[in-house]
Amino acid sequence: MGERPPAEIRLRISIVLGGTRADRAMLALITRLAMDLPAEFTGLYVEDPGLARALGLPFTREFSRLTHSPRRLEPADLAMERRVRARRAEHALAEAARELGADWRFRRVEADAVGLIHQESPAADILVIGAAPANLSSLLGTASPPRLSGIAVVFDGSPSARQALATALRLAEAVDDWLIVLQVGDAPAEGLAGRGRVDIHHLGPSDFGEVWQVARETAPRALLVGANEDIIEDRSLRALQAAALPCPTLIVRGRPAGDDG
Amino acid sequence: MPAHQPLKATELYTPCDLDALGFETTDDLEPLDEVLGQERAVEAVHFGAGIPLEGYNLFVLGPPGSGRHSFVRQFLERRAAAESRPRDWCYVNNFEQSRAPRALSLPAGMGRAFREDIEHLIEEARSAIPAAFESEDYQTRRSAIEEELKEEQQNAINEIQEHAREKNIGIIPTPTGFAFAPIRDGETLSPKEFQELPEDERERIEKETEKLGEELRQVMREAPKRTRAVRKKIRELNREVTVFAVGSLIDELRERYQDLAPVVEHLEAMQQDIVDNVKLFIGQGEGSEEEQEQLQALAGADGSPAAQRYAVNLIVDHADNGGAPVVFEDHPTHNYLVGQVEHISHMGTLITDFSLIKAGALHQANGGYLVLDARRVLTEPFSWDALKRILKAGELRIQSPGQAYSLISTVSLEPEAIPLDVKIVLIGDRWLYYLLQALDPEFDKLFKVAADFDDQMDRNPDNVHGFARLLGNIAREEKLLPLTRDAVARVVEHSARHAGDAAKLSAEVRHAADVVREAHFWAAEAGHDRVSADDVQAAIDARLRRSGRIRDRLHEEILRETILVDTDGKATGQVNGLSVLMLGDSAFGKPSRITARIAMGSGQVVDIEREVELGGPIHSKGVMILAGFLAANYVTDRPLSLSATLVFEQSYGGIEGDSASTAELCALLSAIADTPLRQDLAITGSVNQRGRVQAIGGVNEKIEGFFDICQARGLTGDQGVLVPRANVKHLMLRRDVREAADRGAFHVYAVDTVDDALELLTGLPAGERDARGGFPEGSINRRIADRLVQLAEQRQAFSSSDEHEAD
Repeated sequence: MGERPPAEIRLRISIVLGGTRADRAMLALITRLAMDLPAEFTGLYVEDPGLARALGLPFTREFSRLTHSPRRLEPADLAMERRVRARRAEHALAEAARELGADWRFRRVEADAVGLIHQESPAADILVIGAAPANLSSLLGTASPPRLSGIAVVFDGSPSARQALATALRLAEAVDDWLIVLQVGDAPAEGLAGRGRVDIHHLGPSDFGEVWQVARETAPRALLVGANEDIIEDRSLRALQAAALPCPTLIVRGRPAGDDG
Repeated sequence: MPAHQPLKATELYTPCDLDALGFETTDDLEPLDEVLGQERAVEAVHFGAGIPLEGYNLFVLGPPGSGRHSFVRQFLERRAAAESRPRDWCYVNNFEQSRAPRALSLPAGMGRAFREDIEHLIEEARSAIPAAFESEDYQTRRSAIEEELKEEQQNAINEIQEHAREKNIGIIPTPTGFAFAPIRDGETLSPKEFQELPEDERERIEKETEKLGEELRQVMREAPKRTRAVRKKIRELNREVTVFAVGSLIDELRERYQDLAPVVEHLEAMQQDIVDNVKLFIGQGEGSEEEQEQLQALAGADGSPAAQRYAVNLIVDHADNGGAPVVFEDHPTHNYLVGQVEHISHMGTLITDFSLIKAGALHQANGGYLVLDARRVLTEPFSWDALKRILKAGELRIQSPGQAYSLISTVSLEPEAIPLDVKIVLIGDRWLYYLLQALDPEFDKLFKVAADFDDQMDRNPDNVHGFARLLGNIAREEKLLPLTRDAVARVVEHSARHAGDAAKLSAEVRHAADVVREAHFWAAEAGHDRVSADDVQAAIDARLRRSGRIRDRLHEEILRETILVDTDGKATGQVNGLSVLMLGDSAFGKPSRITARIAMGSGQVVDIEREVELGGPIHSKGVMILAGFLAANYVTDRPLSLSATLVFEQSYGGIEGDSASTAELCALLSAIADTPLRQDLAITGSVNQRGRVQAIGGVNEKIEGFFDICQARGLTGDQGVLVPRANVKHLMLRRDVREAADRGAFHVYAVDTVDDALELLTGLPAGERDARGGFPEGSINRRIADRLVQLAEQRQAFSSSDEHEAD
């Protein structure tokens, strides 16, 4: 038998989409990361099971962002609206993948945010979680979107953090933006010399609640974190959810494609 | 029979008295700075231009070439120069209603300064405002205001969230909003779990959820109020910053124009608008993109929307004028007269703004004089109505006919009306004036002063001298050779001839000017250093030659006897009449054979020209008078019992006028008397019912027309023309005619009555009624009377035999 050709290594990217306008901006960013690399995308439209449960309660009312008035949300209406959003998300993904020439698939999943990360993270080199969904303040229409700039990465010296750093560097170069390193602990981030503008924020030994807050204040275009145990631990993830970052979060597990020769 | 003497050669022409001219050439003469022989019109223009009352506009009427235009121009320009300059006018943006631009007036000359001041202001503002808004201080203050709102709102939301947390109620995002639901251990309770709760707990949760909902609604209700408050604060901040940036500039202008309340008002409105539209200076803020694109399109590629919005469209600028304006609009279309709003094409649509308002002649003449050609105003669509409407309203409102008649649906402007104080001077033909008087009831309310330029003036020494100075003016102004005294005299004589009256001069200055110009040409051709009488004569002769093709053809056909006109011998019921043909600017006489035939009848004189509709009403009137003359003069005691026909032989065009009625009467009487008439004479003149020969027009051309034929056939010494005595004063005959008369080769007879004419034409005495009422034996009148009696008796006998036969 002859020698088998090496299997193509594909970058597996899972993206949580909300079926909103923000999806397209996020997909544009991610496709720049995957440019010139074999990649396959998995789009995820997440349905919160808590909402379905709440709908069964007789007194539950929805306060619409559109009309500001409470209304009884029927399960059928909810299902229809979710279907519409999911379709939008799927179209956005399909379009982005087609431009890139990448494979893609799309799934609707029922999970809460933390459960989703636990569930999807192992199967993806990069799991992309969209910016925090609109919060209650959005009802008031005063929450102007912050101006985002830079690509931020949390670096604690762990192997996955190194992967995240390498990916962040690649992304920053791809989108011609600067790099923000949120350095946790004393482990120095290496290989940054000659890589354009890099801002390093020394956070010292901090818990992740504090890290996410700093990341929120920094307002980067994307935050990259390594999928190490500390991060995907429930408490960290709930803190991440609570921080309601204005940018997508990329949880990097696999090797940053193109960086290993 | 008294001998009828022909007129002397000196009576055929009134020469100009060379001695009275008193100069060598026209170079010796002072320029003429007044209009000649038009005292009535001058007085009217003076009155009309000076009277400052509504409706006292002028209509200057008179023949073309009479110098109306040049006089009106000179008069008005001289008058206007001594009057004060009217105010400048400009249109500016109406910031409250852009479709109705505001009109601002400023003292003469200040419009331009105002426009430059505003341009400077906007230029300054374009750098000062962005600098102020980009400053750290502004950004800090704005952020502080916005943060205050955010904080307030966030606190309110936080409070709700805190309450929810305390009550174990979660806030769950829905696809389009939020919902409150009870939670336990971070999980939303399912309906089953909820039902398992104690009843009081369920009630509590339900109430708490409802309460939270109410709190949220309350916060949402107040949110717009808070937002408005913040926007107001930001607007105030913007105003503060903008006013800081441009306030001093505007204050400076406000002070400069403090005496002009509307301008100050506009500056204040402009300051307010700059505050409201800071986006034009800093490239952001409220306002639609489309609006900005349109402003950019109107401003052009190099302009800025801000400069466009605040520009000053100076439509009337008197900065360079020395007095009141005098505007001559020779193309008075509606738009040129009233002004217009232009449009430009942008993205397939037509757009406009105040900067595209264009002034019309009325704007330019406001405060002064506007001179228009009446015929052109009347023939340009909508112009006459627009002019009247504006004069009646006393204000100038730009409105296109398309708008007025809803012909186009493009959105346009309704610029503020401008008060009008203008004197309109219409120049037109006399018939146009009378037509307007008759047909337009508004005309005499709006044009109360008529300045009627005469066709001619008295040929008195003053006017002759003035005429000479006028010729001098023409020669000087047009750099022509000077005219010698005898050349001037010849032009004066020619002018009298042109007027058709030896005692008058033609007021058609243009005609005399053309003769002078052409005489200059012939003088230059001949190498003369001044224009002599011969040069003038050469010019006159050349003009006649140039325009004489038809005359020569007609004369040729007479000489070749294609057209039958005898110039010798005698014939019964046949006479040579004379007519004048007017072709363009030339007129010439043509002899025509007129014949009459009679038969027994019932007193009808049939004008064949009229029967075939070739005779005009005046000609018919002349023929009808003949019947009256016949009946009253010859047969008063019995009915006129003849039937007569009269015709212009070989006439194929229309005949009008009564100048041939004497000739027709003579032909008729010749036919009745069966007495031949001399064919070497021609006759012209109208006649009344009493047989008196009356004056006619074109006497010179008529005499010359018959003379030319006679001369071509060879003058016999007997030939001549009979003219009404009333026309002797009009005689200005050609030199060759005068010379022939002087040597007795051709004669011009002046006649007073038909009897005079009959005696000359028949060689018989006319005869006067004696005491018994009869004419003397041998007289022509006796022959006529006898023949009429004879016809009457024959008719009576004929009637009697008819009755017998009937019995």
